[in-house]
Amino acid sequence: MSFDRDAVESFLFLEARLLDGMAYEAWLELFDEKTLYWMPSNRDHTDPAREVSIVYADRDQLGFRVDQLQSGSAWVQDPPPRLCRAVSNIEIREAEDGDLDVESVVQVMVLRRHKSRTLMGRVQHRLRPHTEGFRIVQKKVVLVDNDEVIDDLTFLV
Amino acid sequence: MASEGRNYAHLVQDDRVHGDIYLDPDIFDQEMERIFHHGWVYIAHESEFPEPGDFRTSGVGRQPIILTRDEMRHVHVLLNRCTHRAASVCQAERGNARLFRCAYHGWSFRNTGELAGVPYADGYGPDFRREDFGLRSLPRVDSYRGFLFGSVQPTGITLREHLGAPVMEQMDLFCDLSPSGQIDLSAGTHRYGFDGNWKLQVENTIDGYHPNFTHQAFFKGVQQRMGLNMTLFEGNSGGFNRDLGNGHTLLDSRGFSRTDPLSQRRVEMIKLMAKPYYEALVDRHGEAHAEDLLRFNGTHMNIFPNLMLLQNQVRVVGPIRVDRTDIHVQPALLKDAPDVINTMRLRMHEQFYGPAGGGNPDDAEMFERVQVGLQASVDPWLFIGRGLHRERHDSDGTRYGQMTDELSQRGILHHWRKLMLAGESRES
Repeated sequence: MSFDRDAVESFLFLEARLLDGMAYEAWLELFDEKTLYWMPSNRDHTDPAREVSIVYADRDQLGFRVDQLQSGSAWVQDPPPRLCRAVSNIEIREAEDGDLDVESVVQVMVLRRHKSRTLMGRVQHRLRPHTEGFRIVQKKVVLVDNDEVIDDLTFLV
Repeated sequence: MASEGRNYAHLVQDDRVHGDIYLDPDIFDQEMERIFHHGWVYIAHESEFPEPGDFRTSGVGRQPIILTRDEMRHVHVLLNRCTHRAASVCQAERGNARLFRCAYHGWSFRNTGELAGVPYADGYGPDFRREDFGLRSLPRVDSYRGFLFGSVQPTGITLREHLGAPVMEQMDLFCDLSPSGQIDLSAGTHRYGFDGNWKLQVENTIDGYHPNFTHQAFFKGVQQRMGLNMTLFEGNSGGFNRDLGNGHTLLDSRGFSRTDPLSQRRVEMIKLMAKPYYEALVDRHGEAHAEDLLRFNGTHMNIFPNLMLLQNQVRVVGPIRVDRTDIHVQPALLKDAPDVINTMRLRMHEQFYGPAGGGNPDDAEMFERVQVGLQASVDPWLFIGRGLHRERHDSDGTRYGQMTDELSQRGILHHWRKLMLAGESRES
């Protein structure tokens, strides 16, 4: 085993903390320039070239989303939700070229305007070692209810 | 409730509507009967169950239905209700089945609706006729360009009368972007909802006044990152807001697109990235109309009461309760178009639409804010008078105004009033 499990866990917890705090610029820094962020719609058996996703974004498009979130006129963030997530069931496998494939389960509580809801799903990260820990080369979020009616997700998971 | 009661002529006036039409659960029940269980309602698209045996469940108002395609490829629209003791016989949204077996007492039905089997049949006397107990069919079904509409009422105006020529012309623009003229709704669905009345989404879809404010963050991002300046929704743009009759309404950017540099840029980009696709459209429609199809990029239209065609997407509004609405959005793939075109349509769609899109969630936020504000009944009126002084009549019989005018909201709500009053006279 040539990877450092603590380092991987710390990295996922850091990402979770940045998202909970809606520190999107710092969060974006965790992504590789050639990253892909993918949140499928309609379960997990989808071909993104032929089927719609909830999010299918490269780094530039993630940046566009972050700009909008921080613009002061993303009305669905006014007031902002209160977010708290747990990351667990972390499994790590070595991938090619020193990358790591990390699978985890995320559970997010979203509280806004006196109403709370819970999102839950499986997350796959492909991580590339970097001087400051890792960079995310690919992130896929498969929410349990991604084919059901689901309210705002612009705050990202 | 307010002392006005349900005097629909009072609740919906020329330039204003009363908040009760979004708040009163009894009015919602009447809408279900007088609108959704009376006239034509969109139910599904033929591309969603293309093969023999395929089915798709849907609904008309509150009534659950199954759309099936039998071995002869005929479409049947059946009520999802066992003719024995009313259990729904199909639980899946989509699938392929020759038989639907009711799990409660084991009655089974062919995908044509015929009753195929009854367990322990000797329990029924000699008068029992199987042919009397097939799944019930929706009384009327018709389609245009693969869009299936149904009506709970056995009589009434035809679907073509309901739609009218201007609506069908826009549906043609939407479908003719495919080289074979067929759209394909197999790309999956975005589902989201909001705690507000269904009419708020209907009115918003063709609201040319709100984009520069509700969606200012998105448009600013487009402007900053891509250098694209959206002028369509400015108060002096050349876009039109159009009332197509029967509650159908349109944001009409056809004239605007012919001079808009962004629309032309899209045509040139498509020529570069998918020349055979462009040539196929030219072969079928001639160069001038092919370029128009690409410039217009579909349509932006409401088909009353529950169907919307917006650029790449088919949107269906599902009223759940007076203050809860679900929306299903399906990006339309273009049959026989190259993958590069269809994938581009999906990626563009995701940027603005769906639960994490840059646009939809802010609209839903506005609907919820309206639903909160409506509770203030000291002054219960909503003002929809913008552009009332400058409505014009066009040669095709439609009325139109400037893009940001509220002609379309008036078109929807005045038609709504007409249907509610017509229902009242039927019931009295």
